[in-house]
Amino acid sequence: MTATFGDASEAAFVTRLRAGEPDAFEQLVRNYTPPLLRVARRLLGNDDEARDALQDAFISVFRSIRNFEAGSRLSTWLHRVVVNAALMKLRTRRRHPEEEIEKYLPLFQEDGHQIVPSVEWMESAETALQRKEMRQLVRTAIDRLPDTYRTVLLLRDIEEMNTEETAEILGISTTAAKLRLHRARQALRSQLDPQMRGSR
Amino acid sequence: MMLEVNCREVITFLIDYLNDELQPERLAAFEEHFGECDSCRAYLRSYREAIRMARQTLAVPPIQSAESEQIASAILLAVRREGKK
Repeated sequence: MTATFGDASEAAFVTRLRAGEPDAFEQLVRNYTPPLLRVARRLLGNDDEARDALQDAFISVFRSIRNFEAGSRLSTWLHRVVVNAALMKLRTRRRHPEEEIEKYLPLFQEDGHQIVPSVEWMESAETALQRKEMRQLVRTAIDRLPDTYRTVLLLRDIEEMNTEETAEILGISTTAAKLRLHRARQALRSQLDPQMRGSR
Repeated sequence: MMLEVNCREVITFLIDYLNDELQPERLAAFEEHFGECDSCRAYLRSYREAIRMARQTLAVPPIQSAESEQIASAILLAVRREGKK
């Protein structure tokens, strides 16, 4: 996650923000626009919507900065506001109910073996992704994940935040963040599996 | 006697294995299982590949400073308008 300030300078900066100093807010927007825009773009997959989400998020920050708790990191709090703004947009956009993630999870026999045994994939990620249809398949598979799972996957595996930061941004426990990440990865893997086990 | 794990346990707790969060005895049991089970070994490799595929597919180009400045300025304008309401 972007660390724009050291602890001491962040505390001083937050004091200026909470006092309503316009220069401090301008600095906040200019410093955090690139990393937060990147997160919004990945979540929404659309530049215009990502800009709108970011604007909504900063307006929300402007209104609530006085309630910011000094115990939190500024960057974590900002990511939380942006992720929520992007999720609001996704919910407005969605025309169909979300798919159940359970249908993409592995099934087991009573003795603990997988019902459908796994086989080695025939290609590496790099080779497979040279094909346009494979890149599209990965994108579709990620888009098909329920929001709560896709968001964890994006924050942990793409933005490379740690479990604690991800959990704090999403307002969930670290155990829940870890479980959601595992299920999201499993669901992604099982959607790619039919193509990857048979390709080359 | 050495602890034994089956495929269900290995796949259910795979994230703990990858995060190096397993107790030594359980870790040894997982390693033993991967050595013997083609299916779980294939699952582990494909799970890792799926993560790499997501990472590479969703790589976004760095945001240019001119674009960032333009978006930040538009946001500041909107926030100032909001502040006057």
